[in-house]
Amino acid sequence: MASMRAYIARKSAYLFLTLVAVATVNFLIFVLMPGDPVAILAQSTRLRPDQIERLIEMYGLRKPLWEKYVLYLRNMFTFNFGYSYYTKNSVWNDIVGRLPETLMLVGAAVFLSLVIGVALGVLAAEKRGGSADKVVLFFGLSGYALPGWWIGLILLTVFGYGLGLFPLRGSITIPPPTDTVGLALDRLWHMFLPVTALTITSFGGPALVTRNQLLDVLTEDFIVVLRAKGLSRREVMYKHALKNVLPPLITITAISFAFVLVGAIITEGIFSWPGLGLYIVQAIGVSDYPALQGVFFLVATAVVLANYISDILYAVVDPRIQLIG
Amino acid sequence: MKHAMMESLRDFWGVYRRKRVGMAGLALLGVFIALSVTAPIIAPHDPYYDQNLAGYFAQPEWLSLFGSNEPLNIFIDAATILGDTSGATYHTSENGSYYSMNPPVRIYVPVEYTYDPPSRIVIKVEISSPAFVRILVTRPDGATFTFLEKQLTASHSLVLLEADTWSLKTRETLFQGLTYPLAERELFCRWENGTAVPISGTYMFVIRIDSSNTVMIKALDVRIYGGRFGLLGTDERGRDIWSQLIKGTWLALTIGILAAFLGVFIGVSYGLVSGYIGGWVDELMMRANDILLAIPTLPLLIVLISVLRNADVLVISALIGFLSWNSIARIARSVTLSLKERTFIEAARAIGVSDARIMLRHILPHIVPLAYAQFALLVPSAVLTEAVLSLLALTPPTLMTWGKMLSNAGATGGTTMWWWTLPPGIFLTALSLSFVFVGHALDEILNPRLRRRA
Repeated sequence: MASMRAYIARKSAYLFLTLVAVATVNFLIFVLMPGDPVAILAQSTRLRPDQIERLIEMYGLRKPLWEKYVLYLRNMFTFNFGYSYYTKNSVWNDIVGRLPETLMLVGAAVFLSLVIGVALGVLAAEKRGGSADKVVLFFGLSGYALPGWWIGLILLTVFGYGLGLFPLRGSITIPPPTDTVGLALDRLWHMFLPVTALTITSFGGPALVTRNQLLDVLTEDFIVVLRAKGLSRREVMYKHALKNVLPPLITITAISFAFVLVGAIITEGIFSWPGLGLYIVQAIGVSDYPALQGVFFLVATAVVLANYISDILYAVVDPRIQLIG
Repeated sequence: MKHAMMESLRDFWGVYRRKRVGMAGLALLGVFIALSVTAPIIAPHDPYYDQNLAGYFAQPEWLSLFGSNEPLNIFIDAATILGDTSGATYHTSENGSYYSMNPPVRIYVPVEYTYDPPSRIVIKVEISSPAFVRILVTRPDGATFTFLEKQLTASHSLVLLEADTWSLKTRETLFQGLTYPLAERELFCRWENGTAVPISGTYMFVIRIDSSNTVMIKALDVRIYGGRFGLLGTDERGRDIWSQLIKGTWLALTIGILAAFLGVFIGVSYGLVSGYIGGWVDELMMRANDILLAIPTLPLLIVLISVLRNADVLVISALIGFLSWNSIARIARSVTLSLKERTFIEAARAIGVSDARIMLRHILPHIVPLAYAQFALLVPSAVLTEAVLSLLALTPPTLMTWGKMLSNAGATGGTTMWWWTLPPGIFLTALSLSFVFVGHALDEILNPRLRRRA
């Protein structure tokens, strides 16, 4: 177990290094930005003078480059992203306010795509070469190739504009229903189309990984032995083979999370869902750099953290993983 | 050597042709290649510059089969109008051609019109001497309207009358840029119980020019812009959507293949070197790789491209390719690591084969099959990434990709026009799918781990 602790310590150190690197990339973009930031800030009519002064102070805009860099890193790690040009609020407050909306979409879509993906993967592996396999393969691969935002656009046009079954925008009816049940139903009603769009494009990954991993396992000798021992196909599949899919599935969850999170940026724009994605889309429109930087850092951090957690879990679940690697 | 390669290629084809998914992908890809090769013939219009080919937001021509009564373009030029009018003489000179007529000039342009009211009419009169111009129209029901009454000086000799724009929602015609507004807002229909009813029949456009000298007419055009055009209608500037779609195929293939090639090239080189050298160099390179892999590509691209501004096809492809080699590097490294310890590599090293030669001749051939599949899978991801950048209006407006078409449709309220929003998405999906299918088939054949137990 000592090696396990060392493994976690090393992974944590790498996590920190990775986050520093992400912040550094962010800083490089910040430096690359066209024009002199002080001049741009001074011209900004969207911010109050005291906000501008505090920004110049905060980013050390009149200081040499390395001091700027140190200040920048400190700001990033204390979630001090400055003020949005557009909303005039602190970017951190903006993000905190919108994060639950995004997490709700992303959480539901990741959960659904994992459940659907694994189920379809198992079905396909059981009947390799059969019609079920072909159907799963086709839809799994289409999921790879379908642009989720376009699916969202079409769903919105057909079920929103055309049939009027679902709302055209937002995450809640205004004014919201007062009772808890009504509120929950209203939520689900608003979530339905965006979550469907995100799920359609993200279950393909888990489905294919499950299928391929299972096929891989099913050709191993121990499966042949188990079958020879007289176990049924079902028992072999669910008691023995499926276990082996778990470790890669943890990785796939982390990847799905990242994939869906980024996909949500565009999908939120299509559905006017008031989360981080819509925030980014609005920030692009008005060149709201502090907002872009803040969200970018946070999204990158979330992805890195997801990978970190999956690495640790992977090691716990799969004893074959050499903890030295 | 060449013979052996042909042999193995034939063997490979023998296996590949039995993969239904792979063959489907290849067939689909063939269709797209055929479309982009024949694009100059089947899609004659420039996707960006050829504007005003018909009215704005025109429907596809074939919608008339389903009851659409929108007009096609009715363009009547000077030759048609003046060719059989007595009194007009045609001249050509170094400064271009013109018609000369003795005043008073009375030109009658009858237009047979039996459709829904047009969205846009342009009447163009260009004369090279001062004159008093009056343009009128007489409807089939006898009502006469004056479009314009104006004294034109020589320096101000061009009259461009535009009747805009047949609003999609309210079906209401407004006339813009008129010196004298029409008494009625609707020229091509009458009001019955609050609804506009189109009037069918012959509309007589009359152009009267009074001058003391001979009138030289340099241009004379009556244009009723169609509400139906081509296979897929027109966009918000009257551009041919079909041409945009077909020419977008070429753009998508270019961007996808360039980016994927760059990504695979960097990834394979990086992984090969990292895995082969091993030790702390490998550790360092893989850490760097993990860090880059951890940074979400799309938000990074969004920020980078908005900083760069007006990135062209090459820059966009290069950026996408440069940000998409990381997972390939991992695969290349793991193949290298597993091969490095094998006896044939050790044997090669023992007899003094150089490292570079071992990497290129003995390890690379084992990575290449996997790289083919990765290449085929990178193309769609690059195409889809570019589409998102276009959708967010981060690419130049002249770069009419499928994503840009959808972006334009979304920005101008064209999302309900399915002939505009469906085809680019379907093409995007189908092209991506063709590469994914091919990549999947290649992976199944060439990746030894997926081979079926014989």
